[in-house]
Amino acid sequence: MHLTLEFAGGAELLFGKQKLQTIDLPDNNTSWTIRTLLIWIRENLLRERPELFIQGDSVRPGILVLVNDTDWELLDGLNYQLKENDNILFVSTLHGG
Amino acid sequence: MCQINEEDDEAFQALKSGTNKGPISRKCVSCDQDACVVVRTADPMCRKCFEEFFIHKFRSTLSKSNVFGRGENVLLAYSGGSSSSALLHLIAEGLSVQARRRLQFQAQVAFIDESSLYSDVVSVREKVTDLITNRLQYPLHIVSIDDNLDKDDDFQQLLLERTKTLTAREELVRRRRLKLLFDIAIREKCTKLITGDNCTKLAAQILSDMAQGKGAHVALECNLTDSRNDLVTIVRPFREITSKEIAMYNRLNSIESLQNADISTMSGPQSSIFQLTETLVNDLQRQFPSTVSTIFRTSDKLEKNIRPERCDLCCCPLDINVDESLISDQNRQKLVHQLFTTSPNSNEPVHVCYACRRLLRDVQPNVQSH
Amino acid sequence: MPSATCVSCNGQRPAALVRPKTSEPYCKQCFFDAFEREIHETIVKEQLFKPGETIAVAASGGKDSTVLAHVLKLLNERHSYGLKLVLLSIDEGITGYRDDSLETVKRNQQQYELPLIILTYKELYGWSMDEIVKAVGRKNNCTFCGVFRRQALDRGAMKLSVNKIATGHNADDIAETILMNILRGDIARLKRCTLIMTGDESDDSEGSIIPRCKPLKYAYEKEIVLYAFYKRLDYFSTECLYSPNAYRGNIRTYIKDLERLRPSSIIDIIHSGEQLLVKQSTKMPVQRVCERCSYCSSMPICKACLLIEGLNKGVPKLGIGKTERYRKEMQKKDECCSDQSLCHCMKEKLTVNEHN
Repeated sequence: MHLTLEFAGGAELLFGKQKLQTIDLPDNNTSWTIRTLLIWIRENLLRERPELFIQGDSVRPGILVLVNDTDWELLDGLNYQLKENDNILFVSTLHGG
Repeated sequence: MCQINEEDDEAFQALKSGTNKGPISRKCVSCDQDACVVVRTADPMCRKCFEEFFIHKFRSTLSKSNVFGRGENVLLAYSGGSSSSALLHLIAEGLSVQARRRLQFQAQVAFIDESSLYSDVVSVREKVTDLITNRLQYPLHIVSIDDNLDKDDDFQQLLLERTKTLTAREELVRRRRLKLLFDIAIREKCTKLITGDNCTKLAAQILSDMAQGKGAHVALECNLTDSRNDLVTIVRPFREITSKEIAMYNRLNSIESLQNADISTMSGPQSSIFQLTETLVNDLQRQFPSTVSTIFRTSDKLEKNIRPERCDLCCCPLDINVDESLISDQNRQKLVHQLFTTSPNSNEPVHVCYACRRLLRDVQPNVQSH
Repeated sequence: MPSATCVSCNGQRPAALVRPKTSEPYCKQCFFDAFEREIHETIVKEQLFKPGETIAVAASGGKDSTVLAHVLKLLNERHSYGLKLVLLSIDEGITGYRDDSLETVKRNQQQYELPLIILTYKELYGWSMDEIVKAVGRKNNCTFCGVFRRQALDRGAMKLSVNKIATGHNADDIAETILMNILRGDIARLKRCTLIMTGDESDDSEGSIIPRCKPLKYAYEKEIVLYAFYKRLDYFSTECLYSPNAYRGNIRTYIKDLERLRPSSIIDIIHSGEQLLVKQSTKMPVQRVCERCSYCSSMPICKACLLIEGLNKGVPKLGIGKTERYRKEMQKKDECCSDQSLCHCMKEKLTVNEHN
């Protein structure tokens, strides 16, 4: 499955300062959700200090998630089922002023 | 000792209000459009209504208090972060000729450049100059964080080698930044200093200040206007706006913020008192969505300390007796003069508040000579 | 670096511990002296006691109250405070918890040669905690326990006609309570929780109840544990079986983390709390007296009476959550009830209910 990931607000610092990444998730028998995407990110993209991005099975509190510019709280949060060409944005609200 | 108090459970219910009310409606609370963001505790809003709500909140905070005089010189503290970027955007719109209720002050912008503290950071001055001077055409004042310091006593070395804890480093930077902003404002005859402090950050700041013995100042730190400096009043128009709302507003308006590293970048949630507190507040906020607003409301009910004697580090009113607050150590006195006074060679006695006195204990005042 | 010597006796003795409060190496003897001296200084500076007073030490058998009883007894003799000390214990009726801790209190009574009185929830309210848990489940039972304990101490203290109650709240407890009150927006408690003495002349918010003081206000929990350990004090150290995992746990962990980053944080929070001034314009709950049981309450009917009513009616959730409407109804019904003693009043009602 083809997705665009965006990191902003300081979250990009955890991903080698790359703000935009396009990824292709392997085809599983089960469908992808944000929850499983986070596990994938942790294993494939996060090189250092994973605890600054992921805590438990979710993002660190204070990191806002938007799916195609819509608040993930409106979309079932971790259980949102990803679709082809979705844009997932992670904005850290933890940096700067 | 068992600490359960009478109203504990009622308080939890109040804090929990807004959670677990089943799936949130996907419709905007004010119109019938599809929502794109959840604001306050659980209100879905569409893009248009959210932007109106956001701008209204900002403008009403500014106008209801009537803080700015016509033609007043106002200094905007721009850090490049998301809050101050949004602030700059809103103020630029408010000052523009097309604005509906046009803001009437004269804006100037200050940028405190911290890049000299970090070896691997590219200079951001060009970007800042381009944005402020070329595009917005405001007078811009860039000052380096180690401006005015002697060569043999630079700020980077003080912070990284002679300051024991990240807590103390963050606090020294915070105080020095503010001091420099005041200096610029006074030099440029600005009587107001606008900062981008938002509600989420202030809530964490309140608790973090409490933990550092700064309770006497929390009422001042989160107020709309802060008059700790007699010549320059700090104004916080974002004090009722959450960091999530700001992030959303920036996204919808494609407002870029400069992500430059700061002293705490890449440090974990346990690395300093502020980091630890911010983690706690965000954690609680996720479980109890009214956490931030409750902290904020509590501090709004507190009286400001108005003692005339001020701390020479944080400029806040002293919270201990004048004789207890006097620094006797010559080296520490010199350090405070260098970092925090406009006349670094003076021999005037230095007074500090309880929290700053505690802070200075983590700082080794002079380099050991070989 | 040579092995650390005590900073207090200038290296006469080797250090045995690092004082949590100051991070300085101390020998045992100097630690004891410093710990006791600081509590004495607090007592003198804050004028907690007057000669001739009778003081009830709230004794749970836990570390705080055991250290408090031990130190008060010792200081009373060392500095001739002229106090009469008694131990006051509340038995909530939790099988496997209080049974053992009460045994500890009974041994403390022998060891310190102080009089002891034990009051049970069953006697005071008609319900033991075990019975309450059976009725309400584990989710809200701590509310009952806490509310009942507040009054129980006052009732016990009145029965003993003492002048003051001394409780074992330590610095960590107070720091935690200050932050809790900020987080839940309880401005009235925020103002009161830093006071070392409540209910006395200087505290205008409470009228008739017996003053309470916290002599361990500036003592670190870690130091209390160390003191009890090195002194081989006999205390009971099991957490309450019904203890909650909730909100306060977050704050407790936060404070422990803070302490690790900067040991003075706990005292710094207390300093902060003491500096907070509440705006004159802020609405504060008026302290008055419960129409049923005549104990102090911010409402016409106190929380304890409301909870009991719920238990007796078989709707234990009654006193939990929004209660205003129910309180009003209770008030109306109560106009006929002239009996001011809660227990009797409730017992009668119980009997009536049973007859029906």
